[in-house]
Amino acid sequence: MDTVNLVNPTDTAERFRLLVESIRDYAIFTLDPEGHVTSWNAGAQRYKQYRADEIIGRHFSAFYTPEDVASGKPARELEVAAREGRIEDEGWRVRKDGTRFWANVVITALRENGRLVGFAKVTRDLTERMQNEERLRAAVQELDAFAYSVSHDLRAPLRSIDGFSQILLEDYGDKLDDAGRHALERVRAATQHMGGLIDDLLKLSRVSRGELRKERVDLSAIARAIVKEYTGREVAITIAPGLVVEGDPRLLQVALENLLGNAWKYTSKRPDARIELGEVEAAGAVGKRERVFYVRDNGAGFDMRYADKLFAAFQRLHGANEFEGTGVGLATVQRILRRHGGRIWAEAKVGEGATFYFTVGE
Amino acid sequence: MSNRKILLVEDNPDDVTLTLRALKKNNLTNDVIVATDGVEALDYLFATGAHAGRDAADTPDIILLDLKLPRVGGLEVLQKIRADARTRLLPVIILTSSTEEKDLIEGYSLGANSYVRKPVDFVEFVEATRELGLYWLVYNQPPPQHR
Repeated sequence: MDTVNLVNPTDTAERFRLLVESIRDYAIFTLDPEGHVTSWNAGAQRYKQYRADEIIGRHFSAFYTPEDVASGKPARELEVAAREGRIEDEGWRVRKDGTRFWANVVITALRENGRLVGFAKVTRDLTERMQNEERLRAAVQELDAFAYSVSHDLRAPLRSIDGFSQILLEDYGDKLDDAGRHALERVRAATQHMGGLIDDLLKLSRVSRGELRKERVDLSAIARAIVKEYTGREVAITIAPGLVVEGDPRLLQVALENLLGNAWKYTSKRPDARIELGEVEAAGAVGKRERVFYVRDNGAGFDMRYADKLFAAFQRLHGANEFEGTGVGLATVQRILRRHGGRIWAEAKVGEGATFYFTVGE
Repeated sequence: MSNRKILLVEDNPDDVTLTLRALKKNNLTNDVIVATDGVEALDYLFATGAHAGRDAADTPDIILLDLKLPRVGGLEVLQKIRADARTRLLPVIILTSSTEEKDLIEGYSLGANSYVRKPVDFVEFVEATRELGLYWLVYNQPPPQHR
């Protein structure tokens, strides 16, 4: 079909035409002002399966699905391109053999001295990307179903273990000696701990699901409401006012609950406990600076050698006999902040306390 | 709380035993009907199938409804209860393991009166049952036709 052309190397327009004609990864072709095909490259032939001699002169609506043609989409896209210079669209397009592919399409109006002379259209085949997204969506759905069955199916046997242990204690306790009763209490404690693990795991999976809302969130106000619930101990709690960010209020609340809850927990053995939420002062940097917040306590702290394990699920730096916990809290916080485009890191010293620094993204 | 009638819809035999025990501990066992799936619950309420011939006007005072049930699920049972004039106003308390947001939203949307998550801790469960019984069978004023 192609004829060999002897090209004058100074003829840039001709060289450009040859270059476009040979591109195989993009369908690049031109239309007249009414939408009839006027040129055709190798990529267009590859995606749409028409040879140049089959398609030139035909209307470009042949590439659209019958539904799109019926709704007048091809003409509408030319209108917008003519009016605004350009239109970009993503959707199903049709090959010569009737099969469909998922396309990214850019139509650009071509003008000479202000007069519309036609359109250039560039089409990319994104079917593979679309299929990958579909697979990802299916995987996420599967994960949802898994989390759901975890919440229901794994808890049910735990209730039985705990319930029947309690029945043994109540109805047959007098037939057991202290060691026997103690063993049953251990069964119940372990059961309830596992219940807690399942609940925390569910919470962790939940923060990754659902849409991320973006609204004005007053961290100070949320923190004040959280610490109001902390009673029974004398703790000096300082919350800097006006820490306002953009983010998902529910998720940020969960993050603060975990950070402040940890500070409360790990200061429980100190008579002069202090907890502080604040913002790190700007280091004098000009222009856009990242806001860094922190939650600081003077509690048990931890050994910085293990700091990298802090944010992994089910990793704990303290024994259960020292401080209770499931090891999911900080993993949850990190996930929440990452979803916002933020980060979290920590500084601590054993016996002197810990400071958790975090950012909440843009 | 004497002649109050409770319909317990629960498929897990352990949960049935534990719930009955919790009810008994709170002196709420006078009349508990256990349905082990959605079909049985509906048959009981509408006096069909195995319960044909029963007086359908003799409705329970409260229904404790699990969500994950064989054959006909809890939410579908709730929907059918609300769709029928005879049972439309019955207090239905969802008693389940799930705290999935979509179950909560669907449960309330379909007209559940209350939604309680069964705790793992049996002592807590007994306490929850006590408060539920006290609230729904003593303090709560039932809809007129059930007086």
